[in-house]
This record gives sequence, C-alpha cells and structure tokens, in this order.
Amino acid sequence: MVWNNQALSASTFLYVDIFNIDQPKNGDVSGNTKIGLTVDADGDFSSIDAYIEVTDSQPPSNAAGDIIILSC
Amino acid sequence: MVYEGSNSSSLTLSNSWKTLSLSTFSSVTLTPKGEITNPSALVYNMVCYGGAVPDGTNSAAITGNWVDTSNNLQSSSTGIAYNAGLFSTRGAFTATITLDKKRFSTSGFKSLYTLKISYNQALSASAVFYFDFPMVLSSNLDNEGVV
Repeated sequence: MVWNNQALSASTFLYVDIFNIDQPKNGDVSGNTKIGLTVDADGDFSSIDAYIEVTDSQPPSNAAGDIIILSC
Repeated sequence: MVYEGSNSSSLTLSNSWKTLSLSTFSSVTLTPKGEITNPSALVYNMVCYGGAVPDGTNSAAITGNWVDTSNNLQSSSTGIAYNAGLFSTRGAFTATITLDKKRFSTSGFKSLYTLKISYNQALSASAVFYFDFPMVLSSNLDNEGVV
C-alpha cells in the first residue's frame, strides 16, 4: 500500500520502486503472472477509482549448477 | 418533495399530490389529487434527495412525462442533461500501469520492481495505491504432496 502525501495533477507519471518481492522458482509459476494496482484517487475509501493489472515477468529457469539461497 | 408557485422565486410546498412512487428511482411517478386546471400558470419544482449521481460516462438526460386532459402522454421536449450544471459530474477515472524495470529477476532472490503509473485525473493528497503481487505457495504445502 502506498499513501500519497501531496496533490498530483492529472497525467503525471509516477514511478514507484518496490523492494523485496520474493521471486518464486520458475517451475512454480505457469507463465507470467499479474501485478494488480487499485487506486483510490481521493483516499476516502468510498469507492475504488480504478483497478488495473500489469504482466509480471517470470523468473528465468535455472541451470543445473545454479545455487539458489531460499532462506538465510 | 414538490414545491409549487406562480414563478420559480415564490415556491411553497405543494399539497396537490396524492401519491409518489419511488419503487424504482429511475422512473418516479407522481400522481395529483385531481386535475390541474391551470398548469401553464404554475411552476413545479421537484426536489429529489438521495439520488445517485452517475459519472461523466453515463449522462443520459432526465426527461419528464405527463398525462394531458385527453389522456395523452406528453413528454418534455428536451431532457435535462446531468452536465447542465444541476450535478457536478466527474469523468471516468482511468489509470495505466507498466512494469518499467525489474531488477534481480532470479528465482530465490528478492526483486526490485519499478512500476510506472499514470492517470487521467488529479489525485488528492490522500490518494492511496494498493499493489497486489501474486503469491506462489511452495509445492510442499500442496496437500497432495505431503501427508
């Protein structure tokens, strides 16, 4: 969830960086998955102004010799 | 509520009506107690509270119909458009999102996503974005895999 803190004019491009999104094993996902974005333009929780999706890119498959650290 | 008067600046609450059907708000039916003999000398002002206001993509005009003395159905010549200043309508909100960059896209790593977002209307300082990432369960959590 991202809370805005200033009024933004229409047609402004926003870039949002999101860290620490775990990537699954290639074999655990079937093709590219979707990332959903829900926008509440005025933050009054009375309505959802838009819901859109973007296609995520599937992590590439691993070679036999790759070392993958799944937890530390 | 219905108001009536000889002109729009001297309206009082009308008692000329017998029933008001609000069973469907899109078609309100108002029945008078009796024949209104001098309609051309009267102004009626109907005030509807609680009506949902559509956005700019759905702005069909409001029209009125009435029955004349010959039992013919008459219609208002022109509808009242929602955008005629009666309601402050807002156009449909649209947004776009693209995956601008995805760094460390490798199984087992934690990726850094850069998402590019645009929208066609201004956002207030209280706007909120909710991002949903798919969750992939380990195959070991599959009840067919582990008993």
